[in-house]
Amino acid sequence: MSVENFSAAADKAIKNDGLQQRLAHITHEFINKRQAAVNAVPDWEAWRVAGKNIKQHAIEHLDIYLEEFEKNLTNAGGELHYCQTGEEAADKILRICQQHKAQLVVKSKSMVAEEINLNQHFAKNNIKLVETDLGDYIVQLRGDEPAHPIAPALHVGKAMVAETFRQEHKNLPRNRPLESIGDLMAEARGILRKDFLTADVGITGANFLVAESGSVVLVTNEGNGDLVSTLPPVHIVVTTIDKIVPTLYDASHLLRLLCRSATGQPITSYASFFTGNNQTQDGDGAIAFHVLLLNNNRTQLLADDLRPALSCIKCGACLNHCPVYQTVGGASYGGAQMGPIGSAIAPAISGIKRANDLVFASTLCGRCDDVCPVKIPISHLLRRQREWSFLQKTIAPQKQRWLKYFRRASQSPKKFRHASHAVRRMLRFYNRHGMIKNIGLFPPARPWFAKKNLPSPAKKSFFDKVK
Amino acid sequence: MSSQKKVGLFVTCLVDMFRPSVATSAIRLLKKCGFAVVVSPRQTCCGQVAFNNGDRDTARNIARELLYEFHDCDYIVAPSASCAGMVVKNYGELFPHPDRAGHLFGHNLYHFDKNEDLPHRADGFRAKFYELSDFLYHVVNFQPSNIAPYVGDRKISYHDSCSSLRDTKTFIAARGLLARAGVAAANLADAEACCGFGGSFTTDFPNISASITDKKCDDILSTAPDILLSADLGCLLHLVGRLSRRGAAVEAFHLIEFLDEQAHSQFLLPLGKELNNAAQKTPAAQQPAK
Repeated sequence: MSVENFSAAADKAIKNDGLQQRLAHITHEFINKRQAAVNAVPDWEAWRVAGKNIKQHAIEHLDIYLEEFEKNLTNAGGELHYCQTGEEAADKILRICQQHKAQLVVKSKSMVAEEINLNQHFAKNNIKLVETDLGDYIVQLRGDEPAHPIAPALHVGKAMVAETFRQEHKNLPRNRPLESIGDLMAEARGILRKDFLTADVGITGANFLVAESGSVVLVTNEGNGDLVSTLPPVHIVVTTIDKIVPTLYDASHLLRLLCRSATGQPITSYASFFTGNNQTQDGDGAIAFHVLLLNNNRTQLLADDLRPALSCIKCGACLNHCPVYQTVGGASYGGAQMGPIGSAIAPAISGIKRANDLVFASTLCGRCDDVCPVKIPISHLLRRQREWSFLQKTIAPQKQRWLKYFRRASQSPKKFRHASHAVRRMLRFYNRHGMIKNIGLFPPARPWFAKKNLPSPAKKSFFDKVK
Repeated sequence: MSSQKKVGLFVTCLVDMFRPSVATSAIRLLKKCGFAVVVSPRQTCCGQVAFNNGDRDTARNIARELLYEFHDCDYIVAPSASCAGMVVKNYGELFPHPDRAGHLFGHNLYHFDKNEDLPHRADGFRAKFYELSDFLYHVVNFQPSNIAPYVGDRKISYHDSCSSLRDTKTFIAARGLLARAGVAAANLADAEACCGFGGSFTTDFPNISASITDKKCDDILSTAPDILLSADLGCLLHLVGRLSRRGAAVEAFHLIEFLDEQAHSQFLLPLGKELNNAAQKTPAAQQPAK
């Protein structure tokens, strides 16, 4: 699936009753848990402001902190690689794996890996890559796309998971119960444990990069992140430049915001800090430690009014609260950038032409702005992207035409009254006792009548009356 | 020279076309508060359609016109949180002060005549601009007449528009005014959720929009109301349209016309209802058509 197919994918998702039920249930669960966690904090608003300031400062001084991070990471025995494009990053990771003669690679949750199509790249080059986050593992077995950045298998029900396991896991006894979540977890754990122990390389994402210590911070709830990063001899972190924060103190504050906003937890089960390789003082960590920093046009966002988009800490709160996401699910967005913030970032990464539908797929209800833990004005960013789309003329031709008519009419009261009069006359032609059910072939308003009626315009408009 | 304060009524494009009675009720209520009400025949719309679709220049030209049109009013009010939100929240962005003007992929966003001093004009305009229910409730402390007799035992549900919840934050005013008018309104279950209208969103993505609306319709119907109220006509047209397609009969009114006692005594018909011409001629049919 890809970004430009949003509309078609969304229409398909709407007709999928099972998906609709799970989306409604899970997003509401996320919303309620977050609300409870937020209510438990005496001054959440002040926390948000502090979080916003941390990220804003870090993004505005990205050059300084990236250098500091590189210095401290290198001192701790790690290696830093900058990658401009997705292909370059995927290639780099593959080459590191090949250098270490890797046969089996285990991976923990990373949306950046999704962005650069890492799994497909490895499949092409015949290296086995196994997802170890339970949700991602299920998605990988099913050949699906993740539906949510932190709950990738949100769209798959328990029974479907059991079915997938029975299909894909060889040597699975027929009588083994796979009813409860516990059963499913135990089954997946049994298979994955062998992979953890035999893997040659572990790949993880990162939630934060701490400049002052050169540390990589990763939060998980399943502990697979720790196994992936400590058991194999090589640990590769793939992430983006905007994850940088100045100090450990900053990272800990953002962790508080992140976990509460994402899952409603005060802190996740595992919050791991990786600093360098095992050659340094404490002797912890993998033998080789690589950090890949992907740009993929993010510096373009840095250079204009869309800059706050880079403050995102990927908690997913804006998705959970978004009426559009709640209806279409994550896979419809056709990539790693989903939900409101994803739609604001996607045009930078995929180009406005391909991501055009995404920036218009919002009612601009503003609920995302209210729940964002780092106060990103997401609906404002979406409007900005629409402006860009308008300037680049990537809006559908028919809509462009109607915007042109609107532009002409709205700037002259006389023309505006004429136009409004004409539309009213036209609509009233189809009026039946105050309700319009269908307007034949009149094109611009036709989509309105696909799913709903329209109360009829008045016989005389207000300005007709006062004239 | 009268000491009457001048209130400019911004007649939103939807009110003008679909529900002029909202504007006439607004004028009546404002006059009752002792204001001189001004309606500008030169106003078109608030520019939101253009602004939300990325046409910033058109939005700015429309907005500029309004700044001049209403410049001698003491207050300007709009019977819609959506339009008020556009003015209060976004006009500042349309007319940024030079030091705060941003840029978009190298396009300078500050390009209008510097002699006009539009940024300061816009600031003044925004400070004087109110959502009507908020103005009536908080600014003039308006006491509407008791409408309980007209409501009878019919149940009222209230829909909060996203703009009233988040842009203008005026959702309190509606409840307050209804309480003063002697009636109570039920809140919807997921009141903070969007109704799925979103302006051109509903024509760009009719299926997604309808799917979102269905959730709202379910929430409305689960409160089993006889009357649905909201202070935003856009949401109401959208919701009534979908409810009617689903075959559900709920009478919908704009909050302002509903608060106007006189409108009730003139047999105000709910949104989407009209007396047909034949019936109108006979005096016996002076009752609302079912």
